[in-house]
Amino acid sequence: MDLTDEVVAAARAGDQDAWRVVYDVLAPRVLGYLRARGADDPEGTTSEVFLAVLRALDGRLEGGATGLRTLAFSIAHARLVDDLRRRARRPDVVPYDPAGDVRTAVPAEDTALMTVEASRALRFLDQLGEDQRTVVMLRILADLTLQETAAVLGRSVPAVKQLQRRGLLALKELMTAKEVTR
Amino acid sequence: MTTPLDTLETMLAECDLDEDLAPVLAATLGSLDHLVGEPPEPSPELAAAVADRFGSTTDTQVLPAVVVPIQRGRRLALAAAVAVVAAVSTTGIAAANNKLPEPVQREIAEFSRHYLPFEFPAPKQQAPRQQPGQEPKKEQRPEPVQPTPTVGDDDHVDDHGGEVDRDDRVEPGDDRDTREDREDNSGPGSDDSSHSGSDDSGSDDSGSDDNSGHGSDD
Repeated sequence: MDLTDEVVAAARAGDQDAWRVVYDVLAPRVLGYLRARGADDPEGTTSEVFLAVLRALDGRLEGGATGLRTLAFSIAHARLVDDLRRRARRPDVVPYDPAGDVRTAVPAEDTALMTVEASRALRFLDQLGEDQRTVVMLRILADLTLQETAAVLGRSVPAVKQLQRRGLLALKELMTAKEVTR
Repeated sequence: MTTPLDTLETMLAECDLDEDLAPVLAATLGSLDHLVGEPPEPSPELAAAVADRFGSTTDTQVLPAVVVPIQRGRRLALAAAVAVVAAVSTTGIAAANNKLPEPVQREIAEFSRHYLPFEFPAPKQQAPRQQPGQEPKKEQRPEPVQPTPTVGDDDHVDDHGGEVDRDDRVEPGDDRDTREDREDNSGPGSDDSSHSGSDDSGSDDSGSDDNSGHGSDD
């Protein structure tokens, strides 16, 4: 099941099966990205993203499958940034619960999905800068190309390439240091 | 579908980094793929929007087809109710002003007298038809009759005395009015005459009034 230009065109023409393909391919990755970035309500935000994608199908959508994938993650990233900013301005005042901290422990509802290795990977990524982390996650989790990632972040391809390079080198050092200290 | 290892090799190549790093990085970052699971259940809003956009036969799609006839039926019922209220109120106002055709006015007055807490006026009395060329008759009103002094008359004993005036003595089977009736009908100031208009027996009384009026003329 691949997201092709033909599938996107069929979805735009009102083919419900094509829409199902769009949703089944993109929604799990959008959800995974939002979940990995610590969104407040990943499932609800995913639905909001696809409501916007649905509206975009009737509007001006260019670029076929690439355009649709870029659009979906652009919306998801924008919602995530809004969510993070809102929480930074008005943090939820709740007692700290280590069991609910995705950086140190896996929430009960995500136990099946987020393995110990995934938690470890997130701990490494948390030590990167914000932009480097975003680029690496969009490349690996969202399966976006360099160009698509640049479009999502609204940056140039060389700038994203630079962020990617620094992020990978930082990860290598972190992992190597971890291996040494083990 | 590309694997995390493929993606990392591509990323390292794009950045001119040693691709031998790929397996090391993939050992950790590859587990991020575990965060990508099954497609999430769409929210009700998204499901409704999809049904609306693609015309699927979900519950949200069925709903308008069920609702439309109900709304149409309600609209008809509302229109009928408005028509009934308008007709009743228009008829009621006309009946209160005594402007309906006489048979209808009579029926409504009769109905209101028996079944409603208020009464509509009875239809106006029709004037007697005139023959062509005949002068219209002047309305004859009974002359007011001077009440004759009855109290203190030697021959008269009041009602409770049991004795009746000789001239007015009533024999069984006699058609003449009793003195009491005459007194009742004798003048406009009597109590009964003031009630005669609204009483059912008023028509009978008016007949006796006419008689007494003619009698006074004579």
